[in-house]
Amino acid sequence: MRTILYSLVFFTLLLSGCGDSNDSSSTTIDNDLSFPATSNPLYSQQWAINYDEAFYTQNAMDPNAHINAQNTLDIFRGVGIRVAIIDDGFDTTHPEIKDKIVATYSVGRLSTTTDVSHSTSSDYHGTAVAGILAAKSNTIGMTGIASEVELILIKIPMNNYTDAIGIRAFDLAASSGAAIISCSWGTGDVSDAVRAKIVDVATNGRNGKGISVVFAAGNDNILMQNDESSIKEVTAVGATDGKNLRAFYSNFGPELDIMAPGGYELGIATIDPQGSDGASPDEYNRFDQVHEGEAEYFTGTSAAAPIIAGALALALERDPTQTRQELFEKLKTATRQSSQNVPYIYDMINSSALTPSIKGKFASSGFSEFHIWLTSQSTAQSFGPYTINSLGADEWSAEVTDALLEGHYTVEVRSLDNTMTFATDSAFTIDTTQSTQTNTELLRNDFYGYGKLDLMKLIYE
Amino acid sequence: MYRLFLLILLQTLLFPLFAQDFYYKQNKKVLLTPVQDVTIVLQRSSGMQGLKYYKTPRDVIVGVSDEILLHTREIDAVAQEYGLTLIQELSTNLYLVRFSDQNRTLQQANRVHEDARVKFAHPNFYKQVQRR
Repeated sequence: MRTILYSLVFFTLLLSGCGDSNDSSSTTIDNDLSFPATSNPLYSQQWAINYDEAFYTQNAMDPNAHINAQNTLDIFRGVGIRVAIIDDGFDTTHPEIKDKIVATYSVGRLSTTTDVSHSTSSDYHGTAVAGILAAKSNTIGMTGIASEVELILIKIPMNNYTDAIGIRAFDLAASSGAAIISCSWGTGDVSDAVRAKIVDVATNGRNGKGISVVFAAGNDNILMQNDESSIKEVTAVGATDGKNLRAFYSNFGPELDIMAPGGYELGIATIDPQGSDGASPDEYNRFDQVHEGEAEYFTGTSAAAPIIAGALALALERDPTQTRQELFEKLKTATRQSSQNVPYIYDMINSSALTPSIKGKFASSGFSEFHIWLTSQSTAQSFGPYTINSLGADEWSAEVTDALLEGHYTVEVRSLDNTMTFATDSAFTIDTTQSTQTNTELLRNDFYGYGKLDLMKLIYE
Repeated sequence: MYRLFLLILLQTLLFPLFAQDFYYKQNKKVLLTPVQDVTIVLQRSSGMQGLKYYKTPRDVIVGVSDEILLHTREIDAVAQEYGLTLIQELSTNLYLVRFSDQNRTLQQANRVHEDARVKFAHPNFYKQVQRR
């Protein structure tokens, strides 16, 4: 089976090599399809990709904290897929990405140049994002999720960004042939013109198939609202941590589409600008990077977004005919629940009742020593505890007996002595004007209603 | 009649004090609060002179220059009517234009937005991008 798949990859590569490029800065890509991902020296640190027993045990991690890549990264590498990364700058001579760069644009207020180097020696963000997505699988360092994609690197100014600059950046990405655009940033308040451009490339780009635009959901532990990541046509990515829970900082809301590891107590290993530039004294940013006494490891929804962008590149390599919408729908179901050794809450989006009924599932062990608390997010007032009632072999419910006010609540499943929280739903809304929405298919531990990427499901199901 | 005259006069005189700055977003008015603090990062780093700064309801600081973004199929007629100078066509029917009076960019963008030939218009906002 693997031989057939390698042949497919080779054939795809052959075809991609025959295509015309409309970009004068295109370079020949050195495709090394034989080097196993697991043989990259830093692979054991890449906990987001796969389970490494020694690493996971040493760091007391949930065994399902990874994206379940298994051998997928050796079979699909994003060959022939162009991915644009829009960020604060890049080390284009870094050995892990330099061979993959097919175009560079630095978009300014008045002009566009090709120099996308970081603005200051301490900047590293764009390079780190590029590494997670596309670092070459070889005898040095680490591997990216899609280690053979073609990169379009677009630099935007972080401090004097304008809506017009954003529009030009997305326009350049689309016109350069990007199938995926990865954005680990946001403005918190997207304008109509930028929204229109993003919707346009997502809908009409890639010769009408649509471009997958991936945005990090943000790190403020708030509802996403009006941000670039909240646009319906955008794939919004939240972050999980080493416990396989929603990272505490990860923004949430009904616009969130999927989660991927973003780390918290452990960083996401990636590359760093060479030499003393960037966050580390060498060209890698490790999972536990410390620089001059400060933790400098790379975490956040910024780290989660390129994992999803890379995964989409692999899925697109397998079937390049897929439209953005088809990919998006497949991605939304290519998830898995975290460990079932604790009780779960159903995805309770909102309730029209002031005395809602909270439902969920027992742990696989049948453990039932828990109860429910609700906390108002506006007043911080807590309500509970509410006892659970068994609804069958594996399902429970808890009836709220206090009359609550409308607003946003955090629902918690706690141990009876309140020393442990097994599950939370941080964005449950009581709104008497809306009908009650509970999704019993998407039971979750601490994700906002949506699951974490399962790469095997995305590629093979 | 005299009282009515006084009332209208008072309203006319006081109206500017209570007029709120806003712009249109998805056809709804979004109120903007002027920001006077010149130490904000945006102003220090943008290198742009004469920007006016506001805070959106989401506490995002935005800068307003003399530039407007507008979406219309009739750019020539709209530009002529409102005295707009075309800077660049950014996308199909999406234009970056300049208005001659920087002190009235918000009001001018709103007037253009309210024109039936225009899908939307708003200032070309300066913003700070958050790495995530």
